[in-house]
Amino acid sequence: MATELEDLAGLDPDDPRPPSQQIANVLRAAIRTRKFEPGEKLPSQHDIARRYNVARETVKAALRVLRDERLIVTRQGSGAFVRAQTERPVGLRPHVEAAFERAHVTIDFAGFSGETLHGVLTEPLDKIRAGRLTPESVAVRILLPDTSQPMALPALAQTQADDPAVRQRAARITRRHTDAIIEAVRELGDLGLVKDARAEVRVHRAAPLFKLYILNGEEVFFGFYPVVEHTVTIDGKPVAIYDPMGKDAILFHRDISDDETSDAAQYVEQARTWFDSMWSTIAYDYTP
Amino acid sequence: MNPPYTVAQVLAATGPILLDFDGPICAVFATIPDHTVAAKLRRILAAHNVDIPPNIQAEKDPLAVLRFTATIGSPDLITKVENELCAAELVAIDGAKPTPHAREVIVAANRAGRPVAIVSNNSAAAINRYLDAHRLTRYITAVVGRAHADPTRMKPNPEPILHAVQAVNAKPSACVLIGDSLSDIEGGRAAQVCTIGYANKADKRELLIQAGACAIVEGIDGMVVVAQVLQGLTMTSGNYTR
Repeated sequence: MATELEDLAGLDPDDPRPPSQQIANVLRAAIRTRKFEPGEKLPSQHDIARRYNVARETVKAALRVLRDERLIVTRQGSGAFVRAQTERPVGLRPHVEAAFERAHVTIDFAGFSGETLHGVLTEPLDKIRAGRLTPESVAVRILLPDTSQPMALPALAQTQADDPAVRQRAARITRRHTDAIIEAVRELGDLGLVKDARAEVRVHRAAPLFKLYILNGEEVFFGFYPVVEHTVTIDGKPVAIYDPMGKDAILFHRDISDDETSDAAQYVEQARTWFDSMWSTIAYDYTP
Repeated sequence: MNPPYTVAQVLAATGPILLDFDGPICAVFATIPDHTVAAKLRRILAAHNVDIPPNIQAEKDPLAVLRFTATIGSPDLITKVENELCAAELVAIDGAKPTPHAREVIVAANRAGRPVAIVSNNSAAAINRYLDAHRLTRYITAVVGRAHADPTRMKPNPEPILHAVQAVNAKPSACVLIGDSLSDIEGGRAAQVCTIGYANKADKRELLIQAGACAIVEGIDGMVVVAQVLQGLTMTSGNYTR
């Protein structure tokens, strides 16, 4: 039985979030609770706009949020449909974006270079800048290996050992991404878009063997870095190095709201404990 | 005199890579000099009252002594010399010196999806020992070493090269052999594979070109050119990217 628009929750006039966000939240809840079945067509933009007494553009913005979360697909001329697989949006990106819908956002990352983190943060940070997301505080903590010290990984393949030139290459990559993240987060604070915006980087002397994301202290993504050998160009010459490779890593996901019979809550708690312990003991400020 | 093609042209026209071992991959007799091994082999011949001609007395290359042994007509003696050489190679290989950028050639070829086979006049046991010690075994499709106690089947005989061609499941014309000896280029021509001469010593360039090398890389660092081209092809060529 199709859900009638009238069955959907109304907007809360005291809710400070923009109507588009609220409408997206209502529709998301309806999709997650199967009020709208997979494959079902959503009410038209026109009907949703009339139901909530908002402009058509506002509805479009709400649908865009759901589309970005891969909950719906929109087809030109025929409307929006609930995606066939809605159990969970796939991958890290939509979860990070959803994490930024909270009033207080925390993102903890431990890994190699922050390259993937930079990639997934770009869109939510852009949305804050565009006024489409309005968290009160954003705190990003990044935990990386210290590329100014000898490293076990990456290493020169020939010798299986630390090499200053290989490390400098890693340092450049790390610096590029951490600088961009720090700058983007601080800018949100400077512009007054986020009351309290912080991005901190600390480094340690352990080898990067896995990557870990903790979103709002409630969700964890974890992936192994396999060590691969490949050639990179250093000083104009190909050099074979052993490198942690995260690009194709499968990320395992745990959420404290997962089924009670699972170990998800413990997993998330242990991940937080590990991160905080590293952060507050052997990690130190990053000074590129 | 210039070779007919550039390294980039040869690599663009071919897929699988056949590598000679001593030279393109490492210097086998870097710690234990080759002339001490040659002398060891001569002592076996002397102990069997073989009359050793002056050119073999002066020979530094143990493989030349092995070839000479095959002309004596004593299968027993060939086996003795062969076994001694195999043993000496196994000892020498632990002190072998990696050729600059050889690893990059192998790794870049692997990333580009090109099979790499080794075809060498050294013994397969020594080659495999080196590959294991340097964590390179996984990148090598096949190792074709010296036929045991049968030096006539060494390069420039095309037989071992054709074995390697078969092992990489290709036509000879689709393969490129990289070697630093005349026997590589001559054997390569006989097997109808493309060849890149690695002129790691100054006097080798003209010799390798005259022998018919399709392209040449020069100097002890010459393999870097092969690695650079392979790395470039990895990024741009659809055929060999995976």
